[in-house]
Amino acid sequence: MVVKQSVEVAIIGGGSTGLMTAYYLAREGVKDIHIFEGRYLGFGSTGRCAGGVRASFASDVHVKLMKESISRWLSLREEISGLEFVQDGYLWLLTTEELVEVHKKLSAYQNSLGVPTRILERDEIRDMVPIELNDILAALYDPMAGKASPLKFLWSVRRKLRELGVAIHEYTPVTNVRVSGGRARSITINESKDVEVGGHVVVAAGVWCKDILERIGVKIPLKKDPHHLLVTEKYVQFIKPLVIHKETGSYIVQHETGSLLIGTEFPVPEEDTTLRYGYLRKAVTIMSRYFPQILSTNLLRVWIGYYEVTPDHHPIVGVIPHLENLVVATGFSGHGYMMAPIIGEELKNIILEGKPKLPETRELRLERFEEGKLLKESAVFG
Amino acid sequence: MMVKLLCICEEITLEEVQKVIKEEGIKDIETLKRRLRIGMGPCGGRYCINTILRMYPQLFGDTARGKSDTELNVPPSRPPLKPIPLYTFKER
Ligand SMILES: Cc1cc2nc3c(=O)[nH]c(=O)nc-3n(C[C@H](O)[C@H](O)[C@H](O)COP(=O)(O)OP(=O)(O)OC[C@H]3O[C@@H](n4cnc5c(N)ncnc54)[C@H](O)[C@@H]3O)c2cc1C
Repeated sequence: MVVKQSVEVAIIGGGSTGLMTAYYLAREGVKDIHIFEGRYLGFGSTGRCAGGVRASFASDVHVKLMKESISRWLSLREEISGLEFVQDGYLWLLTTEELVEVHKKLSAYQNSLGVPTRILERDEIRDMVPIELNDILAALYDPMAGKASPLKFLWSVRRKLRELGVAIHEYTPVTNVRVSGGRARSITINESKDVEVGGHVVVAAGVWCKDILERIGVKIPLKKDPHHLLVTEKYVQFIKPLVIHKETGSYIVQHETGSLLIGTEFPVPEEDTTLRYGYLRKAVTIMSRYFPQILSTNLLRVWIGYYEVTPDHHPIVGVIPHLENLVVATGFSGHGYMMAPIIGEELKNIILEGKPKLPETRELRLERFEEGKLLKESAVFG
Repeated sequence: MMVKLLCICEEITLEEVQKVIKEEGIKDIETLKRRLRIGMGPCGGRYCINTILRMYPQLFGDTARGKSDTELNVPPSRPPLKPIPLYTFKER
């Protein structure tokens, strides 16, 4: 597609954040929206993620935003044909007395914010999933949570955006943003062509937001945190909720195709995307302790993607200070996919109303790091 | 009628491939792969991706001759080469 000389809204990045921003803007009737994606939609973290969606967090900001996001996921599956969201819950397996105590408190806290999590006893867990209980003492169940296949999300949203008239420029990297007089004026694509921007520029480029913004002298505290994921061949449907082994940050989820995705915490250096055998050993050894059935299925692929991590494990969302039409959204750790619907809608609000609707989104301003007002979260896992 | 399977693992016909390319404006193999799961089954793309490369002009209306894998956006091969049972990785 030939890119015009000037556009109204330029969205940099074709992951869940950029796509949802385009969707909510287009739904509101905004015209001349352009997504610029350096590779193909989903090349970044979105195409590599597990597709888990939950509101069982340990900070007000995350819980409240995710409650809103889940209500959007429920509408999106009606609005966008092909998009899948299955509310089968999350099950957090707890293996020490201490974890059980913490999660009792966590559940009470979540209940107070309207997220109906509850503690399950051993036999209740067995009623829910075909599991070998071993050392499991109890579990926290989140019935509001669910899963949404990232691949289906990508193609169904792509198709919907095309219908709505959003221009999607794939294999079109944005190599520069030109700013002057407190505004972003244009973007450079493919290192050669300048495209003027009349309205807003949205930087939704995942971990690469840092590089784009650094070029115009804006520093954001963002780190790449590589995480492995494996997928198996199709297996008979046997496990509905996404199950997490809290002590080791290991998880398993089965999507509608039947394939199993298994992840685990396996720290590697920031820029190192070498696939590790140790990850496979850890993921399989821990998960098969509880689900020995999986041992007979085949490993199909393994890959690495990035969590986008900030110092307080909360996202950065909002207008860049002193650049009134330049907006950024990143730093979602391992939760940017599930948050994309509410973040996309809030970016729409920022663009059309000048500010986000929810007080929680306002807390995600970039300025908080300089002001030393960091947010708190204790339930980040693999 | 004879059905032409382009992807055996996921049972995707040539007709389906042509349809989504046309209707959804797909211009590259990476996007086609994620759209129809071609190349994501047990063969790891060994058969279907090669077929797509052979049929490139017919499918995408453009010639593949003389272009590199990068220019054609051929999906990278991911380990393992062949599916292996998970028990291989279990610590004993
Ligand atoms: C293994 C793993 C499992 C995960 N599991 C979950 C989960 O269960 N639930 C959940 O909510 N989250 C999960 N996450 C996190 C989630 O994937 C991310 O937080 C989310 O996808 C971020 O989306 P994004 O759109 O902000 O960024 P991305 O998806 O990274 O998209 C950014 C896009 O910008 C493009 N880009 C970069 N630079 C440029 C440029 N200069 N010009 C044009 N385009 C550019 C990239 O190619 C990329 O496609 C997981 C992540 C990993 C790695």
